[in-house]
Formats: sequence, structure tokens, C-alpha cells
Amino acid sequence: MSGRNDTDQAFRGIEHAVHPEAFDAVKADEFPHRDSLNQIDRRSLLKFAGATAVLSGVTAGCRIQPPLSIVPLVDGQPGTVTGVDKHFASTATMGGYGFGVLVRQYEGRPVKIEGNPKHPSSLGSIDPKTLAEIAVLYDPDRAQFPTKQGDPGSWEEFFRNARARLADGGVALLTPNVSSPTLAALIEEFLQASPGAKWYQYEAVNDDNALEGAILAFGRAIAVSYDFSKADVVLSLDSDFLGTGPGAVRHSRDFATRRQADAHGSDMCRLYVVECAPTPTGVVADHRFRAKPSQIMGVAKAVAAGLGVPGSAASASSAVGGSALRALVEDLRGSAGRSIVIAGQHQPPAVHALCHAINAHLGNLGSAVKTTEPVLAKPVSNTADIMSLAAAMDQGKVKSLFILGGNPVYDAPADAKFAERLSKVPFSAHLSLHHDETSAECLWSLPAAHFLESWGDARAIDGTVSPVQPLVEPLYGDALSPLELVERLLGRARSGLEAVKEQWARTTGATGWAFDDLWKTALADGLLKGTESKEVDAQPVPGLAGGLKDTQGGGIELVVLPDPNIHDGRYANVGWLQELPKPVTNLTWDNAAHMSPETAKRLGVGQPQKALGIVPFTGWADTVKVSAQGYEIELPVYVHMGMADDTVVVHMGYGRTRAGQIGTKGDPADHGGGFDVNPFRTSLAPSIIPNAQVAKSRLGAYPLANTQYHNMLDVTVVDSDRHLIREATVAEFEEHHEHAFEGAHHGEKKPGEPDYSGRSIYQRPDKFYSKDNYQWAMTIDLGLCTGCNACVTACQAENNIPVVGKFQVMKGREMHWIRIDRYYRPRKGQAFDEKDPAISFQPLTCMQCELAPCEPVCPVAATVHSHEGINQMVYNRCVGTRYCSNNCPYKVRRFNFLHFTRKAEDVPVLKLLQNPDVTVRGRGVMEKCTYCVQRINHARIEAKKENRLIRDGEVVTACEQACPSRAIVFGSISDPESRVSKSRASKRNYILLEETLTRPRTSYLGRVYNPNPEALA
Amino acid sequence: MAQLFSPGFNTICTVSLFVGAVAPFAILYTGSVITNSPANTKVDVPLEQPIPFSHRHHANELGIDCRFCHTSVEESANAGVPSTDVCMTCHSQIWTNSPNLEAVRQSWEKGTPIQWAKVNDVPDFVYFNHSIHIDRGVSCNNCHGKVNEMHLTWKGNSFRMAWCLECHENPQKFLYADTSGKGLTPREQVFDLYRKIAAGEKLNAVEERLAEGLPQFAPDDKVHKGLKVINERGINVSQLKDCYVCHH
Repeated sequence: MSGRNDTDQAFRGIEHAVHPEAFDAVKADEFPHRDSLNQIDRRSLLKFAGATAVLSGVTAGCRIQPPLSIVPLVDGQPGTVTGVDKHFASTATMGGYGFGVLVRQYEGRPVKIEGNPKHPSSLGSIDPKTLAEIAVLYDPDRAQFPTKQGDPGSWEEFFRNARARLADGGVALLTPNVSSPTLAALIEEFLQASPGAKWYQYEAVNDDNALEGAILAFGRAIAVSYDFSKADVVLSLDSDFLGTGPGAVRHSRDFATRRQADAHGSDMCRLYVVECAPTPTGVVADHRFRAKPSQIMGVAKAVAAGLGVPGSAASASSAVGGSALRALVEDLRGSAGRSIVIAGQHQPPAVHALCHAINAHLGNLGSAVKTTEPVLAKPVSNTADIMSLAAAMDQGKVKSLFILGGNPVYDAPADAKFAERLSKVPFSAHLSLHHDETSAECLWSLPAAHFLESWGDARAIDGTVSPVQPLVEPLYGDALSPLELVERLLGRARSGLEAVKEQWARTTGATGWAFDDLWKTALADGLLKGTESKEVDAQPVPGLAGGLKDTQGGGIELVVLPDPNIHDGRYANVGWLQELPKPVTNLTWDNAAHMSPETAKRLGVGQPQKALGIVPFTGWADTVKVSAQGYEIELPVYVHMGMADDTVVVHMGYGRTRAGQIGTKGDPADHGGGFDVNPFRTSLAPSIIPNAQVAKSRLGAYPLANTQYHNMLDVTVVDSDRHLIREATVAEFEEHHEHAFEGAHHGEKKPGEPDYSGRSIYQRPDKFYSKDNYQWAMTIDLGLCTGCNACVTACQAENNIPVVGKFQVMKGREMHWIRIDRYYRPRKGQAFDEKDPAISFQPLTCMQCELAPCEPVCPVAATVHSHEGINQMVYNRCVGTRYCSNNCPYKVRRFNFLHFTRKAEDVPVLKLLQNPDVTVRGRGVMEKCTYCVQRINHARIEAKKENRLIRDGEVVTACEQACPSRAIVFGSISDPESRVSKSRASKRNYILLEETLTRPRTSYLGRVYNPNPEALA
Repeated sequence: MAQLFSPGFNTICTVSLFVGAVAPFAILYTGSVITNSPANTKVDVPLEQPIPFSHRHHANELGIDCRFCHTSVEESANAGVPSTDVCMTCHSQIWTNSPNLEAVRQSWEKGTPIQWAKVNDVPDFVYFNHSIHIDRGVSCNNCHGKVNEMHLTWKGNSFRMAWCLECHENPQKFLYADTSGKGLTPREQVFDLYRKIAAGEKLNAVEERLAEGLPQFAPDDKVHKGLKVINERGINVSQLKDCYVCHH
């Protein structure tokens, strides 16, 4: 245990940091479920053993193959080749903004959503939520036919009634934010056709603050976008620009171009983050400061005053002060014109406006910060809109209300009293993918078509018009897209395709062949070229900085944020996203009240010592009662190191009552579903709520399924200087070069350190890995990883990885082939501080060891090595002894304890979700990352047919393809010129648990970060 | 006390001992014979089809190329089973009243697909790809049996893993270089064989074996030739045996 007091020790969580010895004892336990093992007596054991033997004899082996049939097409389409997949460009939308995707289609059904390399919002990468849209398409709980007050109805009846109503006036239309030019034009036409009709837009996660901030700063609605590839210094004021929002994927890519340590060295950009709770952006920051949400304005003012922004005056106190503030200000001043100051989505408009003033003062506008015409068709404050709709409903002015998407009954601000006022509307209809809370309160519930089933368009974050192209006919024949619904309300019957084409023909002015050409190019590319929003020369209102109010704060501040996975609740019924460990916290299936260790201690909750005994598998958490704005709820506590004190963060989207089989709140031990925090949100304080009352609750413990203590690497035998996470500052990297990542001793052997140069007990002749074959390998750049989870979901979609449910996750049985480990470490040169530790991410997947410890222990040779260096897992040989998993030092093997894929086999629509190139595994089978061997095989076959070698970059694993910051590189090391060969040659390259001599093919590039020496002083 | 066992029991005991020793093996052997027999594997058992389609008639007697119907065999994992319109290419003109073709006409008129009984099947965890086998010059009949001689189609081989490995371990036994001097690629060679058969051209010994779906005889010089073919075509034999080539 030599490393215990070493300053470089990495901790998996607060329990580990506070009680390392007890933690080691828990970790060393071979049978974490020993309690239940002890309960079995000898007789029962024999009974079970006998029953197992008999049942295995009955169920295994002999089966008579049922007769199968081949059903070819009747009229074969030219160009269709069965068994070959195709990709089509389309556009997903989030918050109104379009996100360009390529959808893989196999024999007429979409099977996976990938990024569109040509599209400015994606550049080929993707985020977990967009990836999971495919699971929304195939959700068995989708609304399938129109219902009137719960009874099946028909579209004919609906339109008959609706058109009669339209003549009466008092028509209101409520939509999510709309950027689609076609839908906006149609709505405009609708408003003109029905006099007095009003259009409202509302989404719970919206850009209100940014919009109002821009109006405050520039005097009108202007879209502000950021180009992180041009920024030398970035200051984020509570903004998680790498993790949330429609621009996150593009931001990550741009930011990563400035974090290439090998190429740039000291040219790297520098990121300062001031935030209330650790986000992916905070984790990758060079300097991270904690501040309560209300204190952010103080920091902004202090920075503005330091820079001499006209009219600015520093507040009495700033959460960031002293040398750090001076260094930050100097840094910004030194990079004038090449820096970005960005405010968080939930920060009030004044903070946004002040950021604009600072950017303008520094001359960043027009370079790293772009001001353009708005992207949304009619940018409005969503909160103001929903409030005026609610008021109109209350006054009885709304006679018929058409809600096209969204779920306002669930997520409207509490003071809108939406459900209550909706009941005063005589005719209401809700077009939705699910029969949800809002549908239940409306007269009519109408099934919506998914974006993969309908034509449409949307504008990307930079304004580029992008077509929404269907990949499949609506699965449920009655579904309509919002476009088609408005079209029919207008009494016409154009299809979505016709509507979009006519709109585009009108706006582009192209006709005939020219239009056909333009249309086909746009569909193939997934975008209409040259339609970016026009840049405008905007200057802030003079003297702006002076008149900005401080954020109202005080007491314990409650922050309601969108959930990183299920967003505003729209993805609550997607098992992939529910089970996806949230960035930084690794929580699944629930939301919780996040608070700092200090705050938790003061409230007498979340004591690590109490949780430790059972934390690795069940994670029971204390509960607190949170009351604010006249609402109270009891929530489990998640103690979050690195959070600002007196701040409680909760995520919205949970506690759904009508989401579907997965999303609807259920039994806490079995199902989760979390807690509804929307009633805390009011129109005046939609996300930051001061003076919340938080007290320990008498409810007792609540089970939280947290994956942080699952699959732990056994580092207790490892000397601390060979730690798992290797980091160096730019200065250290430049000074020590290759030694910077060999640990604290720079490659020198410590006295008494064992000699690891001996031969492994696992042996295989080196000639087995002949350079005549491809030799696959991967590098993961820890300097670029933002822990965004795109790789995890991409792997899940590509490799048919089942969702196991909260109860099984609590037993440590989640099936993800790639996971993102989180470690807490002391800040450079300081002792470990649980208030503000350094945080690191480490994506971990099968390392494909050349000398794999899992292989010799398999009694049935179900895991063996390929000549291309891949550790093969043969499902149909596996008998489920789990020896391999036990012997794996990286703990990357996953076992199907139960028949987790049963639903994929039994529910017809879920069969369509499975990737046809990957076996769907059944119970009792071990599985793990295969380096996406199906993609390797596909590329190999195509290359052989063309009589050539596989080109570098031709095989892209699903995780590599999804990664927004391009942290993962895959290829063959037989080719010395391949990207992965070059990447492995980096001085930052290191091997995880190298002393085990497993010779993994996956290696890591140590993180180089760029702190300001002045700020550390 | 009377004797319990008569002298005859000696014989019974001896016989029982031997039978007891042999019985387990006999049972296992019987089991294996049954599972390997066509009763279980369906090898050589023609299947009932909605239309009594004859490969022998179409491929051999009429000389229609395999790829006329199995269009995707060179580019996809699936060889492709023809859609009804492919049948109707000819049968809208000839045999338009044949009762055998009633199901085809019904399908075409009503737009309902023909449901063929599947003859050849591999388990779902096996990812077989036709195109690469054709590209490397593996002849159709090597796997499917003498299809060009079949009236109703049957399964030519068991498609068990041990059978696949016969070639994946020793591809030289199943590959040969064309000696006609026409400079055929391995892919063209596959289909040229069936053209020759249909045209009644004389086959050499190797071609005759391949048309039968059998490996070449393997005297040393022939194996040597096979190995030469493997080198020429850059076939990586060690990698062919990797599990992940077929299972992912």
C-alpha cells in the first residue's frame, strides 16, 4: 500500500478517498454477493446442482430446426442488392436546431444513426441522444393511432371536427422551437388562413437566456456562435459547451483541434471554467473554479472590470479572486481577438449580455465569436410564450389548441398551471410520438411520425438548411409529421415531400432540371450549400456593462438542469439513455440531488462511511427533502466532489407518469424513473432557484444505480508512480519529453521496485503477430476525451448490447462494452482535497492483449487469439464459466447473467433495431469489445475483391466514428504509416497496467494540459 | 441351500460384461449416425417447393448463367433469390399456361411474394459471404452439390463447421488455376465451368471433380499447384481459420 499517501493516488469516488482501507477490503471480495451464498446450505446446493444438471440436459442441445422460407420481392427494384447496406443523409432536430446524420439502412430498415461528415453541426461525429433516436423510432410504446379521450378515433373524424373548430376562431398553435423553413412557412400560412390564430413555441430546455441576453446586448435578436478552433483562451462561465446544447459536438471537434499536444505543445489553447457542478467541460479545463450559480455574475463583472470594459464595475466579492483572477484577466487581454467568454445556458440574460460586452471589448466578435441572423424561424422567449398562452387559456380566449410535439403538461413552468388551464380549452389536440402526460389531458391524442419516417427540413446551428429524409414508411400507418398535420388543417393534402420541394423551389428560385439537380445534391450531402445564416456586424449597446443586475441568490441555491442523457424527459423511454452512466457522476436510471461533500456533511446526509459497506453494488443513498417555490419533494443525495457549496443540482426529465414501459416512474428498487423536479421551475426562476430549503428526509435510504464502483481495476498492487491516469503540464511535457508520462520518477527505477522486464507467464511466439497480416490496434487520447458517452451509445447501437434494467445495474451487471471510468486526483502539487479534486476520464474497453490472461483459463477455448491480434470471443462455444472475466485485469468482459436480449427476440419491432451483422447473444454467454470485427471483415472482403490492402482509415470502429473530439484512433500497426502507428509513437503513449505484461493493443495517450503558471502561483 | 445361479449364468455374465462395455459406445455411435444422416441434416433430401423449379433444366439444359437469377452473388453476402419479375422475364412469353407456373403468375398478379422453402441455411451466428468466395474462385458446386444436375433442389452438404474448415484449413484442395489459356480471373473461372458443362465441352479431371463438388485428388504435385494458386491469389491461410472470420 505504498501509494496510499502518495500525492498522485487516483480515487474512484469519495468513499474510496475517505476510507481507502475499507474500500480495498470491499474490492478484494471475490464474491460480493457472499451474503446470499452463505445462506445456501449443503442440501439446497445439491438440490440446485442436480436441477441444473437435469435442466441443462433437457434444454440444451437437441432441437429440430423448423422449416424456413425465403421470401423474395415480387418486383425487384433496379439497384437493390439484398444483404448490402446503404447510407442516407437526414437531419435530427434538438431544440429546433438540425443535426446532420447519415442513417445506415439494411434491407429497407434503418439500423443505426451516424454523423454526417459533410454537415457543419456534426462533421461525422454524433452525441448519445441523436444516436438513440433510432431506439425512439422502434419504441414499442409509441402512439399508433389517433385517440379521442382515450378511445380509438380516426383522422377523418379529427379533421372534420378540427376544421369546424377553425372557423370559430380562438385558434392557438403550440410547437417546440422551429427552424424548419417549410414548417415555418406553413404555420405562417395557417395563421393567415385562420384569423386571430396565434403561434406559441415552448421547450423546457431552451435558449431564452441567450436570446434575451443578445437582445439586451445588441438591441435585437441575434444568434451568437462560437468557433473554438480560433480561440487561444476560453473562459466558460457555467457553460458546458462541450457537453450540452445543440453545438456541443461541433464545439468538441473545434476545441480538440487546439488540444493536440504532440503537434501544438505550448500552442494549445487554455480553458478556464467557473461552474457550480463538474461537467465534461469542467473536467477537461486547465483551471476549474467553483462558484454558486448566483456568483457567476460576480466573476463576470470582476473579469469585465479587470479588462476595463466600459461601464463595468466589479462586484463586492468574486468567487474567483487574487492571483487567479489577475492571471485570467491578463491571459484574456493577451489573447484579445483570439479568445471566447461564454455563458451557460441556464445563466440569466445579464450574464450572457456581459459576456457579449467582454467579447466585444476584446475584439472577439467577428473572429472566434460570430454574430449572425437568428437561425430559428421566429426566435421568441419560450417561457414568455408559454406564459402568455397559459394566460390566454385561462381567460377562455383559446377555443382550440393544437400542440405539435413537446410535452407541456409535464414540463411547462409551474406557474403556467398548464394542465389546469388546458382543461378550459374546449378542443385540444396533441401530436406526439408517445401517448404522454399532455396527450392524456387533451381531447385528441394524435400519433406523430418520427423524423426517420417523414420529409421535412431544419436549419443547423450555423443556419445551414438541411433536409429531413425518411428512411422508412411510418411503422404505424396513421402517423403524420407536424408538417403534414398543418397541411391537412389547411385543407390540403400535399405530402411532406411536396411541401418541402415547393418551399425550396420558392426560396432558391431554381426550377426544372436545375432544381432537380439542387435537390438531389442536397439529399446526397444532407445539406443545402450556401444557406448559412448571414453574419451581421453587431456592436453592443454602449454602457451596457454598467446597468446589468446581479443574479439573485442566497441560501442554498437549487439548479435545475437538463438531464445529460434523457434531456427534458423526451428520451425517458429509451433504455439506452436511461442506463447510460451520466458523465462525471456515473448515475443511471434516476436523478438525484447533487451536493458538495461539505453541504452534505452539514445536512447530515451522504456519509461515505455509512454507504461504503454496500456501495459497490447497491449504492443506497440518503434522501433529502427539498422545498422551494411552494413545492417539495424527497430526493436521494449524490455527494459530488468538486461542486460549489450550498448548491443543489437536480436534473429534469424524470418522474414521468406516462412515458412508457421504461420511462414511467416505477418501483425504486426495480425500475427507478427518478423524481419530477419541474414543479420547482417557474417563469421567473426557470433554472436557478435561490433560498431552497433542504433538510434530511425521514424517508430513509433510496437505491441509486451507480456504475462507478463496478469493474474496478486492481491497482492496490501497483506502485503509485505507474498510475492509471498520466497527466503532465505543457511545461513538464516540453522539459521531460518521453519521460513525462512514465510516472513521477521519470523512468528511473525506485529502490526495491520489482523488475517488470521479465517474460510473461502467458506466452505466444512473436511470429504469431506477423506483419504480413493486419495487426489491429487502438489509441485513446486522454487529452481529448470529454467523457461525453457518445462512444458508449454508439457501441451499444452497433453491437446489439442489451439494456439490463436498474435492478441488474445495481448488481453490477450492465453490459456496456466500453465504459468511461472517472477518477479523482489531487490537484498538481497539492494534497487531495475532496472539495475540489482534479477529475479525469478514462474510456476503457477490451484492450485486446497480445498475451491475454483470459485465454489460457477458458476450458472450452471460447476465447482465443486471431492472427490479426484480436482477442476473439466465440459466443457459440462459451459455456459461461466466467473464468476469463475473473482473470481479466482490466475488467472489460461482460456476462449475460440472464436472457437480457429476450425482448429483442420476442417483440417484433425491437427485432428491427438489431444490427444484422452482429450476433444477438443469449443467456450464459460472455461478451466483450471485438474492435467492431464485423466492420473489419466487411472492409477486408471489399479490399480483397478489389485486390488491394485495406486502406488506413477504411475500418472505423463505432466508438471512433462517434467520438466528437476524435480521441480514438484505430488501425493496423503493420503499416508504419497508419494513423494508429503514428499515434502509438507519440511520447505520450502509455500502456495501462503495463507491469502485468499483457501487451495490450489499446494504449492511451497521456493528457497534456495547459495551466497558467501565474494562476497557480 | 439351493443354487441361486445356474451354470448358464456364467455365459450371461460374460456377455453382459462385454455388452455393458460396448453399449455406451454403441449408443453414442448410433446417435452420431442418426444425427449425421440425411434424416437430420437434410443433405440429399429434395424439399417440396411451391413451384417445381428445376436447376437442371434452367442451368444445364438451357444454359442460363447462375447470375441471371442469383444477381447479387458477386457483390453481396447473399446470393439473392430472384424476385417474381425475373421469372416473368421469360414466363410472360413462354409456358404461359403451364400449371406448374400457376404460383408465379399468382404472385405477379396479386403482388404477393413466392415463399420458397429454404434449402441451405447456416446458423444466425455464422456470417457467410458469397461474394468473397466467388471472388476467390470457389465453385458453386463445391458447397451446394451438383446443383446443375438437380431437378428439385436439395442440400449438397451439411454446412457444419468441420465441413467448412476442410477448405478454410486447406484451400489448396479446392482451388485451381484455369489452364485454358483464356486468362480468366478466378471469378470468371467459376462461371465458365458451368458454361462449359451446358455447352457440352470436355472437362479436365480437376474440373470434373469440382463440378461434382468434391476436392481435387491430392497427389503431391497437385497440392503443390494448389499452393501456388494460393500464393498467387494472396490467400492468407492462417487468417482463414480465425474465429472472427465467420463469427461476430
